[in-house]
Amino acid sequence: MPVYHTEIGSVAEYRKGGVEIIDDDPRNYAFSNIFEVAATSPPYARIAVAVNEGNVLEAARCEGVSPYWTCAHDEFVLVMDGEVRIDFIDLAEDARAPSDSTGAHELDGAPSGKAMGHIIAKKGHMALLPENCAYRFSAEGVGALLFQTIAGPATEYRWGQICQTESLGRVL
Amino acid sequence: MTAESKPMESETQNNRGHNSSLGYKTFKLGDVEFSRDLYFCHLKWPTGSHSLHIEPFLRATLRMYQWQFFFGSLLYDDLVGFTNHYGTVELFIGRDDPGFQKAEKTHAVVMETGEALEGLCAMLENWSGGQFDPFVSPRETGRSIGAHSAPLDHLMTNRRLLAKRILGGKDEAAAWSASNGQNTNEHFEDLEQIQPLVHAEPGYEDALSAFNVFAHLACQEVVWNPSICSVVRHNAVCITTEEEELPVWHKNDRLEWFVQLSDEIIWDIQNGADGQKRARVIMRSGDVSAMPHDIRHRGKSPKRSMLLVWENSDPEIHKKVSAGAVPFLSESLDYAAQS
Repeated sequence: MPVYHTEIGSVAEYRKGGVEIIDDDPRNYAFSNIFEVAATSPPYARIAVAVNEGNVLEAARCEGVSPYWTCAHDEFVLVMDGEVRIDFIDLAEDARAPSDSTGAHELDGAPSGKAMGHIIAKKGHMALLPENCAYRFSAEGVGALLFQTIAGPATEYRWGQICQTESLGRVL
Repeated sequence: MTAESKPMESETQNNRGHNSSLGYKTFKLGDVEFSRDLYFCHLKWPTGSHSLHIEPFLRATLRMYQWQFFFGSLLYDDLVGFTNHYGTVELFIGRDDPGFQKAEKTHAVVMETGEALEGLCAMLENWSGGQFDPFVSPRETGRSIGAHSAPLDHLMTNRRLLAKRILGGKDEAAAWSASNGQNTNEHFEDLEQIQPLVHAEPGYEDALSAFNVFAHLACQEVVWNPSICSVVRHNAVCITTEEEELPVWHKNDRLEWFVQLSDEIIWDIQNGADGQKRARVIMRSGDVSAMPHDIRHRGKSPKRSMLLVWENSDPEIHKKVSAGAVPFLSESLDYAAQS
């Protein structure tokens, strides 16, 4: 019986692919790599790696303790590398993001409110970040996160830095 | 050129002579006749004919049926496919092929979606005999070559999960895992399937939710069949395992995005309108790539791999795209910005 090895990258070690152009503009693919973004970004900067009519996927390096964020709609996070603890706080109505706003809003310091609980998530785990709560990440090591959300004030754009912009020859 | 709108006819009982001894029925969608023999599905329409190998045909047809024609167009090869008009579907032959266009030999039939689904279901049930399962990888199934026989009991079961918010959340289906009783595919036996720790304070038990995406995918028994695992308004994250070749060409009618979670998939990219080759996208773990709205794509996964597909399910988006109101990424992303 063959033994198969599943290749899953990490911030420390990843093997990036690419776009071999025949007759196209590589910028139409906005090709990037989550581990590379995490390896080259400050902790918890939420860098857009995919966008579709205002919706975004954001990649972030997790390391140490994040700010508290809140959002008027659900968000989700997929841990791509490392281990994080996510703490949740039930926010009073006047402390929430405006109901017609989108995306994550960073809060000043630790918000007051009732503790909802916490999730400890490792590589491959997805967690719900419920609407109108505050949440914060803490990580002892280095890892990578992928957020599913809508563009908002915490979203950062660095397409020119993270994406393949030139035609490549054969991808090794 | 023929552009005829005609509802699907019910299956005919008088099989064509060359396959009647095998026991397969012949079907019609509009004026296009579908018949099968030992190795092939044969299409005949008033001005032409075409043949497709039966096993790829059945693999593609099952996905077209279960996905209810998905977004945009799904093609069997460079000639034949269905376009979803969201209420009706168009069966086209040669529409996107320069040779057929030049010779004015393209052919199309528009029918109600329900009628097309009924026709595909009848074909699948009559033609997918023996131990052939079009949903699993080719190394894990028998063949569909030979005379008619009864299909597998679970042939038409839609083996995917559709979350409204998050898999495993309140009132949602539980994600797959070994601990939930599913079998782990041999390609992913090297993965741990530890579940996240969810500690909810009293009163918040339904508010917090998490699951192991890799465990879910390690236990997915079929390939190229995404489950919806999390939803933010009209943006849906779908996850799936892939192995060998995607049985259809998918011609987009909107932008979609892929995130390669494990291993590698190679995507062949062609121009949507005429099949001209544009690029090859090699995706490895952690890679993110757009699939532009004007292409068709087909993936090859040398080893069973895990893929995240990010879809825009806005019911109006295809109208904006067809009206030219959605720019290409190369025009809309600010590559000079340094925030």
